[in-house]
Amino acid sequence: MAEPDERWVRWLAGERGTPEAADLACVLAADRAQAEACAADAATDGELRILLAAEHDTDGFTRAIAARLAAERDGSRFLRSVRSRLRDEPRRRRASSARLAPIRRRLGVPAPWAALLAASVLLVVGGGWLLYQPRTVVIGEVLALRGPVTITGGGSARPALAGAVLALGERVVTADGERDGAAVVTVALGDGVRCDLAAGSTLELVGRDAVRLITGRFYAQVEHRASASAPRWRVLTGAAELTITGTRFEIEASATVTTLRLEEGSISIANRQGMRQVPALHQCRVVADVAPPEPHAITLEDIWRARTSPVRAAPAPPPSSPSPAAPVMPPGLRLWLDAAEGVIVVDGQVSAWRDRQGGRIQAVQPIARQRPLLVPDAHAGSPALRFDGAQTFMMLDATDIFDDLVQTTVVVRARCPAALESDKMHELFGADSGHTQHSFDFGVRRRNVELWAWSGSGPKPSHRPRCYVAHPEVWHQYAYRADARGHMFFIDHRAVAPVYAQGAPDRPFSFAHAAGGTTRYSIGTSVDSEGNRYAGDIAEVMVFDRALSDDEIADLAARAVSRP
Amino acid sequence: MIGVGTSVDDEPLIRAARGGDEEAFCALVREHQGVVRAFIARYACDRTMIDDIAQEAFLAAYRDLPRYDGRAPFRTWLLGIARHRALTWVRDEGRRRSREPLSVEAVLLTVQPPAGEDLAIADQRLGALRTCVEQLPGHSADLINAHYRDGHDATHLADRSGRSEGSVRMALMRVRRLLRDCVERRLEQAHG
Repeated sequence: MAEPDERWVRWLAGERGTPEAADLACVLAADRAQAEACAADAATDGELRILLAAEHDTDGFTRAIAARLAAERDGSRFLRSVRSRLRDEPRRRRASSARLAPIRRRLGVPAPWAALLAASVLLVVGGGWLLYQPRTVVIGEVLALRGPVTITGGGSARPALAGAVLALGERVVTADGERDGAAVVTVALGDGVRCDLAAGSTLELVGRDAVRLITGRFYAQVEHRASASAPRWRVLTGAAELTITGTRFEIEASATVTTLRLEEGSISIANRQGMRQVPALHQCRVVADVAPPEPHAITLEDIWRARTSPVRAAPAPPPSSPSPAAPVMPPGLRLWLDAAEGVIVVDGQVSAWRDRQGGRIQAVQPIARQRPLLVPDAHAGSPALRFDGAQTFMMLDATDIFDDLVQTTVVVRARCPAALESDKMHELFGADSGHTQHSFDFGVRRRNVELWAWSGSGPKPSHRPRCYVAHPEVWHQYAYRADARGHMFFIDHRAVAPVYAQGAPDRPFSFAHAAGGTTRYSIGTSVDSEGNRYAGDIAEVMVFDRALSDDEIADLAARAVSRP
Repeated sequence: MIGVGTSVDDEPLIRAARGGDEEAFCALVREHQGVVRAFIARYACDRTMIDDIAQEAFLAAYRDLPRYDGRAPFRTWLLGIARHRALTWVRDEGRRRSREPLSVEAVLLTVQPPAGEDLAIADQRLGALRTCVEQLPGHSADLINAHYRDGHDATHLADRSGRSEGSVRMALMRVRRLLRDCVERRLEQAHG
């Protein structure tokens, strides 16, 4: 048998870069004897790897089998109940028909005509539903589970079953348990990703190639992507972002601490303070506002021991339904941040500000020194977030707030005592496309409330309407409305036609064009400029997917004043 | 320690598992998983795939337990199921890989896997491999255990021993070859 190629020896030792693999594959494809030698070596390598390592991994593997057996058993029960219902169906149909007969007789409609009528109604209603139903992007599937596991999203929650599909934006929540085995779920995501979520965990599907571990722990197996250009899989946590190539690893996260234990491959772990490359069989523990430290070596045994330990106490998942006390708001509300609800405070500073509607969106600030303060009694007995004009701001964790909009209304309740001190823009709400093509900056500058919309094309692409506000240092509701008629501002309940620092009323303005492609949204800063940091208080931010009427905006202003 | 080459009285566990006792079946899994996974490793390179195939094989065995007649040893019966699952995977993987760019794994899959191998011999071979590892001279046993059991890569081993990475990789390959030869010899002796 031929001597294995030196490149094969390196490949088997773990150096499996794409160019080297392609090069080696060509050698093996051309030389049968070489391929046989390498296959024989690979067989021994595989046997040794499993035979020796499996001594440690017995329990993990056996637990996986136990979980799948339990899932199959639950699935069988479900199938039995479906079969039983199907068996009973003819009897129930006959009973139902007997109940409906007197009604049919009273209406004088014979049964076949009733059926035809019902079918027509179903066709119209069903067709309409199919046309106008919200688009659901399926990006995962529940493979197996044990214990109470819930899928939440879109303001609803459903129990998970094996085979259930998972859509973009949904969360998988495993019930708290004293041990891993109490409630566990295995989910398949995208191409070659499997996650075993431990008890007491919440995992959010934020994209085809990304998940957010809100709290808890999971063990993941990620295959190498076939193409080097394929996007790498990412895990987001409160403290860091991890970029992953083909690997196996375990990650545990709370709101401010993330611990990575890497079994195979390599993972880049980063936050705003720095980045680390973590090699195989190393552990790295990252705290939210601190640069990732030097990883330290661990053994496979350490990883397996961690997998069998209970998840540390985790905070309860966020509510998925609106607060029962939530007032009725005008329709089309796409974002609603209210300082009176959904504010997460750490040491008096706001780390997260959740959409009051219970949706998926929240504003976050993982770095302690950049968090705004929560002022409990700022306006009419209600709280507000206080921004310092230098460091503090929040970023929204959604990328699609302006998507598909051709008109909008942005409403912010705020006061800005520092507005008169300089010509600086104090930004209330910002949006940016990430490549300077489109931006949308709404804020206060001296005695003006101003919008600066940059739409990236044409000889004079910038629109900069503004309107006068006599006292920016006191509380106001500022509203900006864009529709086919152009720009309009509202100070409290009053509509105020804009003047133009740049652009003019006769120059065409398309909100869809200006906001098109924006993917990053901020509160208290513009996305791409630290010079626009807001100094003052913000109590409420709302974004609507339509142009509100003058009356609706006036009603919102009245509601703000009459708040308890 | 996994039970390679050992004789285990599986009968009570099998009887209990047939009656729906999942704990008993898990005890069987615990006993035989090492050999089953190592056997599948001859067909698939990726450890995730190996574990997936092994899990499928065990689940299939659980469903088929009522049909196990006890004429062959339980482990040989398990390996038969594992081989069937592995060959199905090889066939599907071959189809999938044929539509993708050339890769090392794809080429290795074109080399005939040990499909015709007798399952009893496969079981003996894995037992022999375990014995051969135990009989390695000290430094070779240390190297193999550090790399395969403790999971240290060539870089780490080179740092620890003061050797170059290349020499560590070549040493690992030489020990693998020694083990392969040792296994062949033992099997030849066993079969006269």
